[in-house]
Amino acid sequence: MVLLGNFDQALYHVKISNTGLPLDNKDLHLANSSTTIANCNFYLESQLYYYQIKNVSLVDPFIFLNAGINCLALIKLKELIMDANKFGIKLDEVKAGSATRAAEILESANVSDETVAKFADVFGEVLRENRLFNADLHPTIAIGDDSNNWHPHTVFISFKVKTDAVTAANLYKTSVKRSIKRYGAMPDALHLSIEAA
Amino acid sequence: MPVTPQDLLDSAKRFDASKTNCEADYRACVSRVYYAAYHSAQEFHKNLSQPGISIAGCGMHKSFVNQLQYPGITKTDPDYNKSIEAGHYLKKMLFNRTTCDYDNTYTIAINSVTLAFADAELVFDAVK
Repeated sequence: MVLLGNFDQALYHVKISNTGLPLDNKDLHLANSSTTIANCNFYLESQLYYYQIKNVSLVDPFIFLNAGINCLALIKLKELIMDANKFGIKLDEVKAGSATRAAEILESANVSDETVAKFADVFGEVLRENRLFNADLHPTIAIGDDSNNWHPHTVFISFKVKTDAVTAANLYKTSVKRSIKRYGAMPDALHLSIEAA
Repeated sequence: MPVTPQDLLDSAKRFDASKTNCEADYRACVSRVYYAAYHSAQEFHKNLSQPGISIAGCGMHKSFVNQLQYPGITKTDPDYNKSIEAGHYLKKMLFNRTTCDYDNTYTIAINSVTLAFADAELVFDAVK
């Protein structure tokens, strides 16, 4: 399973499609735009669309929840989950709980969604070079906190791609080396990796 | 002759949990592979001119990962980035090993073993 399209064209057309949207489905369109861009492994760009979502009651809960995890805007997603709870909107409890806990850990460590995206974009760059994308609906999130005696608390994010273990390890190595060269060590509350799905 | 990190890794390979189809073996193998990588990184760290920054309030393994991720040597030292890199891989290996050793509610499959071997090779390679 590989990406075949033209990434620049995808970015361009999503941008164009977001001009002059009717207000009644704007938020749904923003969530879908975010997903399209995140599926091309552009995280910062994807979050720009996701962050514009205002009224969660106008977006299918499945879409806004998965889109938020997909673009790794976990802190923004936590706000939307709180709004959804106020509206009585039913969500996947496991996913919503995990995303909320991840957001809490990042917030208490002063790690913004933008910072997560900055590091994720390096991994995304490597995945795009190899035309690979997440095998699941979104990157996988695991939590290290008091519940499993992990200190300092950490959000582990894995990009699971359909390839063999050796290729995945090489992509992981390339991403980590490039990320260190560009930005140094990741914040302690954040860990990114690539694995074979 | 004392045992080397490579001996530990080779032992884990000979153990070959993939043939046993037993989750307990998978868990044991992930743990053994972690220790091979841990000792490899420790040998590297011991030879640095300055130890990395440790943190209080966590276990010795997590503290060691921190020492690797936040080196005490200067940024111009070629081992500086190697240390951060090894620490990054070892952190996830430690997380997975902790799950295998302490969390029996979570199912460990053969892909966790494959991943542990792949990650261990990354640690060995980073500290060369």
